[in-house]
Amino acid sequence: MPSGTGKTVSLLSLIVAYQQHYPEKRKLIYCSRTVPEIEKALAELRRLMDFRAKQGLKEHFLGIGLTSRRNLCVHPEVGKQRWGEEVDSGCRNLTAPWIREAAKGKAPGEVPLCDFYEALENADTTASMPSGVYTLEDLKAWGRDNGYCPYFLSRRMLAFANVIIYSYHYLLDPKVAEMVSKEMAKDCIVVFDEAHNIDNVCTESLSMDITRPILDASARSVGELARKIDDLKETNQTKLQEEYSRLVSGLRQEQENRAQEEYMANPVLPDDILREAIPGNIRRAEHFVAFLRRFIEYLKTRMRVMHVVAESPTSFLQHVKDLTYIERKPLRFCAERLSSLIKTLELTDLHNFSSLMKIASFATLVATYQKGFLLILEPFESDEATIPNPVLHLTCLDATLAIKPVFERFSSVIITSGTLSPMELYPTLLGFQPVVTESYQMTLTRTCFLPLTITRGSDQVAISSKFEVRNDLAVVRNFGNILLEYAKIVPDGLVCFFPSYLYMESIVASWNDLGMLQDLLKYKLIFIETPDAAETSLALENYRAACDNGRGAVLLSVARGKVSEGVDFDHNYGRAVILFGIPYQYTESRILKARLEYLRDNSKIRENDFLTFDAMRHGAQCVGRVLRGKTDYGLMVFADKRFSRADKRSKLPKWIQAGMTEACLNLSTDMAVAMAKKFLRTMAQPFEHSQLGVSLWDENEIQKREQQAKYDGDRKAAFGVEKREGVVTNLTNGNGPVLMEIVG
Amino acid sequence: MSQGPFSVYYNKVEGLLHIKPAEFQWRPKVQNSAPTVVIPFARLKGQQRNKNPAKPQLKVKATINSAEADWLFHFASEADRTIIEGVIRPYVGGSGPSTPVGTPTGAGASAQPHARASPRPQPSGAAAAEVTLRRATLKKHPELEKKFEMLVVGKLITEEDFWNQRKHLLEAQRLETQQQKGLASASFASPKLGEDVKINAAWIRSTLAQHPAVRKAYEEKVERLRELSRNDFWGLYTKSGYFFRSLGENGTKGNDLIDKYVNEEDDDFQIHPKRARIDTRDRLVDLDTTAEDHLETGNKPDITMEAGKVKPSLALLRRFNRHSEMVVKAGSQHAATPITADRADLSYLKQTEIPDLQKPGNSEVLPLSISDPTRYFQAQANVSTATLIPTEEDAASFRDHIQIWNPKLAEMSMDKPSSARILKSLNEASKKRKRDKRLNQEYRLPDGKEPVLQLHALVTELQRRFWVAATDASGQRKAECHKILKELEKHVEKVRADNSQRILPVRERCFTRATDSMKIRVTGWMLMRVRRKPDNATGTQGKGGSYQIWPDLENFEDGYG
Repeated sequence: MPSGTGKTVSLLSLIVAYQQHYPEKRKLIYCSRTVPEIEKALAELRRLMDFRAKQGLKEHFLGIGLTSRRNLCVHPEVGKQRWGEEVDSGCRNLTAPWIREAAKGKAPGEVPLCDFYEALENADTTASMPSGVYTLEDLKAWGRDNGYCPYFLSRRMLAFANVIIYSYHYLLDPKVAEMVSKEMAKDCIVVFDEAHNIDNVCTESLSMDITRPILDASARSVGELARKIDDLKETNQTKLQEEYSRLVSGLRQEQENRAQEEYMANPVLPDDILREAIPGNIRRAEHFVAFLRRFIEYLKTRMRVMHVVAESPTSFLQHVKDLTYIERKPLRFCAERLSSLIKTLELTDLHNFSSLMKIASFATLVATYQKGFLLILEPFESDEATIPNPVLHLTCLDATLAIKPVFERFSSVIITSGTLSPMELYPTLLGFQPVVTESYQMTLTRTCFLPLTITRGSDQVAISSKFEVRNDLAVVRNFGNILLEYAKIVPDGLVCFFPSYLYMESIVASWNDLGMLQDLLKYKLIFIETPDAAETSLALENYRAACDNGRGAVLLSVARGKVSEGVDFDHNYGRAVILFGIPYQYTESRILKARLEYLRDNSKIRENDFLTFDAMRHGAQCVGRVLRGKTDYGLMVFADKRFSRADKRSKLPKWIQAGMTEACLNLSTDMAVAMAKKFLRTMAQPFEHSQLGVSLWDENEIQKREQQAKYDGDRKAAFGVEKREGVVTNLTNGNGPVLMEIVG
Repeated sequence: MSQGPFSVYYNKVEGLLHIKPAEFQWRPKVQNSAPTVVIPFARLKGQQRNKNPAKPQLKVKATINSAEADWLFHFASEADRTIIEGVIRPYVGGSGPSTPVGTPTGAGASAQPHARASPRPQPSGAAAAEVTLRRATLKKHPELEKKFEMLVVGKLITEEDFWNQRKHLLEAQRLETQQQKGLASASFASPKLGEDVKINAAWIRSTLAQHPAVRKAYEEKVERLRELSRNDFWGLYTKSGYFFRSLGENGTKGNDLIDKYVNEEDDDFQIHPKRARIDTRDRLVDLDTTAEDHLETGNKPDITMEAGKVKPSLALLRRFNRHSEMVVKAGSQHAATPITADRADLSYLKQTEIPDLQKPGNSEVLPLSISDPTRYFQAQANVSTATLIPTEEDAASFRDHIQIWNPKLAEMSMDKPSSARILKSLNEASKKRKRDKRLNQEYRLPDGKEPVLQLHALVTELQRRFWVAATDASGQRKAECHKILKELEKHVEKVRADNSQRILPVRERCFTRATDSMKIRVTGWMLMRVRRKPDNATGTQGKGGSYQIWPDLENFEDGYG
């Protein structure tokens, strides 16, 4: 179902109604994918609460969102930094406890502190935040007006909020979840919205790469640590001794406050953290530093290997032991020990230690998990490359690992999206038994979208993004012609998606050489997604301006890229989406191969099925961007001959499949253009918006339907047919995840 | 607006030039002479002046009777000429000095809106603009221009009255003229290896937009330090190493004109150029917030998904983006203002609104409100009130009738011939309707229709004016009424005189070809009304009596059919 059909608000209104009705007031944790989506969900929540207030409900309600410091910081200097790491580091330099401690004895201004954070710290217990729903932007504004730091305020208020909206990572990524979501009660209701890609988020949150520069930087950091330890030995020997004795006694350092917690969280999932004392050989700071140094040297040696190695963590650990005598257990404590050392040494410029932290996390992960992980060493970037650029991938193959704690901890989990087909696959991928699996239909008053499958160009040459033919001049030219023809007939905005950055970049260069882009400029302006997010945002903004002022523009972007997720091309911003080729993953990728193998062996999912499923869910995401709401209309052009095959089509969401007729499955460019012309002309006619009786029910209609339902229910009861339970009833008595797709 | 007279020589004859509201006239300086030159302002096409202030002359061009002609006037004084020039100027379009081409620098600085060169000094702001607008409207609608000529130039009604009825046309014209024309988007400068570069304004504009380093160099070398002339700069640029590199030719030596202006900030080959930090106005398209929401996790993407792998392409993508940005921003007047919290909220609200769920609002159509419906229907049906409204008596008699009514359905029958007759008549009626419809579709007015239609338009307009004036309650427009009446009568006379020569033959031809031609019918009854109504109207005017607005078709059939 396209966005703007009320998925989010339906979920929110049902859950909030349930939440407010029962005295426990179970907290709702609503996870979404991108920051704009979080903002929109918050805006919808506010709308909902306004409506409830208008209906006479007096509720004490707090709804907040959480995002990184980078997006919430209001400090005049730190907040201006572009990169999240810089903001984090700048923030820590102003808010670390030892810095605040040091500032106490000095004159104000001598040691720079963050006023917003100080205000929050010094706020007395009576200080309160007015109830309501705060979008991230509101939170910033409120924080600025009241002198409180919005980021820490938001984190502090998580415990009191009725509804929290943040991104998946705050629950799935163990490093972040540990800090943010640890204290969430068991009876929270968790919703994963836009969850069609959740399995990838799960595997990514436990995967990492080690490269040569990371190793070099961490070796430098180890040297720095050693120097700091020497300094401390001279000035404050007792501090190190304290730490040592604490570690000896097996006392984990209690996390004194939330700010400190963050310095370095454990990368492993809460269930896998050892409740033991840190082993003796890394308790002393200087020993630990030597230990790290040895491990880094070992990794460096491994990286010198000039052939591809794929091995399990067990074999890797065995090799480590054979060569360096490093045992598994101290490796498991690596991350925790480093975090403790950083606190003891009172380091603030953590920015410089990020590489070392990565190595420590890597050590902990590799020593903790044996199953579902794989280490792949790739000495060259690609098969053709001659200059070595080795990368050691630690890759998680099993999506169930990261999401398991969520299912275990929270009693109600709802996984939902507009494009969650085929639904049978998700329980297998994520390893859970759904309590309710429900697919909801969509009502349409008119066919507001037209899926067209172009299989060949006007010259009858079959078009495909298959690797063997994609760079064929005839295919490139035919793809270009499709774009050109559509640019001529589509009003305002036209969005194109390519299967990969590599393909987009090379085809743009070819089109430029063929002079096709010059021709295209006669009809529409061209904007292209670039690797840089900010640059692409600017291009997007200009694209929208060009659509608004009637000039019209084409946006070229990538199906799995930044634009395809989370930016809507509704109304005039996208009257047509062209999908050039099927957005398959790069099948030569070793990580993908390993994952496919793992899925085949453990989940009985065939490689091809998964690949097609994955490609089509991304394709559906792209074409789904063209519609927002039912009054909108748009063309969906699938330009690849493979789209006409039933196995590909069947993996598209049902609402798109429903729009596909036999007549538009095997078209050449000219035929498709003729159909598109007709469609656009019909759709551009004035449309009576009243949906009364279709998707909008007034009071009479509801009463009528209720009576009808009652009548039907009675009849069914009489015939012995069970009444179906709704989602909300399941929330009360069901104990487990709910899988929900809202499709047309 | 009447001015003058000015002493002006025309064809070596001394005369006087008068400026009237809609035209200017020249008449010889002889007692009671009629104007020999009359040029309506609406027909003006251009004017030219000589340079010698001692002998001020003005050549005026205009189209009279669809032929262009010019008149050379010799003025007695420079001041007079200036006045006349000022009067003529607003009516003359497109002959001013050509708008200078925007300097390349202005174009490059895409944030600056392109100020359009203001047309030319206007005599009096708003009024002059209005005049230009009217003139453009007339030019666009030739039939309106004819009407204007007959009514306004013929002084039947004032110009204001004429336009008051046509505000929508002026509004449409105003919108059209206000529409800004931006830059041509196809002006993307993309030189190819081995091809000669054609340097023109559009090429320069596009190049400056595409290459920030070139712009920096240009701004410094040409504009600030003035070390190089523009031509030299572009000549050197096309031989620079930077230029060759941008064509994809590496290793070629060229001059280092641009090189020192290339820095980290705008290195197009970098994945994350330093300059790329924007404060988006629309947070919903800000991809940076998501990218920086959480620290990076996962394995790096495979080689096909690593952006920026095709290095030369990266620069090309950026060049396209900058070129398109330049074109978009060239037309927009709105400076980029970062969105504030309130405005962000508004945009979220807008984005989360579900239009389908809006309650169906009130229709924009206003219901017809008739204060006295009985009168309205009576007028429609032409039936007297007494017969329409049933009285108690009627009701009683109807009741009685019903009570004693004894239907004998079994006895009721229809004889065959009469039913056949009815069927036949119905069939014929439907056939006739079809035939007539077809004929009407095919029907075209025969030649010689022009004067009829023109007359029709004129008379309609006059009638409308007449009824507006005649129904004016204050009675102040009596004089106007009479004037229009006189005019109408004049036309009726003309029609009568013409009847035999021009209109009747046309009418005859029409009627032989189409029995039911609505157009001719309307023309016919218009003429009828012209003849009949005014007497009636003047007779009843002031008494508040009602006029029969609809044509009396029966009379029409009698008189002309």
